[in-house]
Amino acid sequence: MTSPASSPTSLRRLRFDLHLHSCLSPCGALDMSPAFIAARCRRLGIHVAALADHNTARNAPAFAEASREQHLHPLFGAEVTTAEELHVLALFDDPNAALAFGEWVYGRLPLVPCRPEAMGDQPVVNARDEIVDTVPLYLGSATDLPLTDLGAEIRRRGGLFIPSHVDRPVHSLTSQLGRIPDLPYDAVEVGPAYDPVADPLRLRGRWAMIRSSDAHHPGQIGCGWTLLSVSDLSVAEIRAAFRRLAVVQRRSPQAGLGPRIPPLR
Amino acid sequence: MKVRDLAALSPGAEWVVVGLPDEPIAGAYTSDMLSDVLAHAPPGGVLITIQAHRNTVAVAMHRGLRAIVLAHHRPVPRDMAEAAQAEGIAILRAPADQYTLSWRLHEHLRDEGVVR
Ligand SMILES: [Zn+2]
Ligand SMILES: [Zn+2]
Repeated sequence: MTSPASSPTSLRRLRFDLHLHSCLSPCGALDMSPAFIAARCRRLGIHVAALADHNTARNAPAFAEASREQHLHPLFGAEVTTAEELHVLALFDDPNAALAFGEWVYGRLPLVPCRPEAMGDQPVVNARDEIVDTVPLYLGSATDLPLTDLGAEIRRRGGLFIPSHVDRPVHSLTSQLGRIPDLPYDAVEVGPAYDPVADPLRLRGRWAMIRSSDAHHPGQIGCGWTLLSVSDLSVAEIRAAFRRLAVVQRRSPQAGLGPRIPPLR
Repeated sequence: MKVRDLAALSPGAEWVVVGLPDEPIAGAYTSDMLSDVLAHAPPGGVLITIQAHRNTVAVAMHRGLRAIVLAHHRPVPRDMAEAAQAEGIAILRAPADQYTLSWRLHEHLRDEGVVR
């Protein structure tokens, strides 16, 4: 007999979107406030949502507060641009861990200021959509962090290490390195056009394949998600759920993946 | 050589953003690694690259570049074109590869004494 805590019946099957940008990302729409994202995710049936702005996590506190109000399960982190100029998601279950990680990443950006008129605004907001600060350095720059070092640091800090949109023609493992190096990713994110059955990058069974919205605009929320069965929403449990998903996908490549809907423009 | 003359580098080249066509070109740099461009591209120069996204404009802006020439006729996302427009940085799409564009541009700039 297994104990109730570990029995399969204690697992809940939830819809995860592990990649959303807020207004703080220079390329994010200004109406993408943390409060707006939390409300929209909730309305569209997303149960767990991760805020991952480019190279910062400073909207994490607002997202934590807004998610509480919406009864949404939040995760926090950043989408880091590595020295190879590819994107990696670093996700935490604790907003303070995400904030500390984000400050460390921000410190590795080049001293290129953001010029809002050309590059976009970078406002830090609270849960009531009030601007409390703006981030001075351009968040679209690449850090000086090599992929392997970044992955090790994410894991050391207790986060999830997930390369973004690995099949995309820019800012991805394939566009920058021409291949998927064998590193201890917790999962790999594939884009809406990736066919997990044909699996041209041979991801199947090696890592869980996940799909997310990578939403920068309101119309993109809900356009990509992954179903995961979890007993709680700690990083450790999500990591275990990814491992279970990878095993299932070996036989059923589509398992857990939301539909292949191209994002709205 | 002026910005407008870049179109002669490759048959089939097309302007996406004309920028400031009468500005002179003060040099050139070829690289697909933006951190490298950020460190080495000459002010007033042209960047030859395949990196067709908005961050390329941010780097060009920071180095004071006049134009971005995209090799292999890479498509230009709208946000990249808008950012370049706002900053007066020209974007040219050219079917040729980086090597070919580089040596052709070098011939022009060498003949004018801009580079050795
Ligand atoms: Zn990305
Ligand atoms: Zn993203």
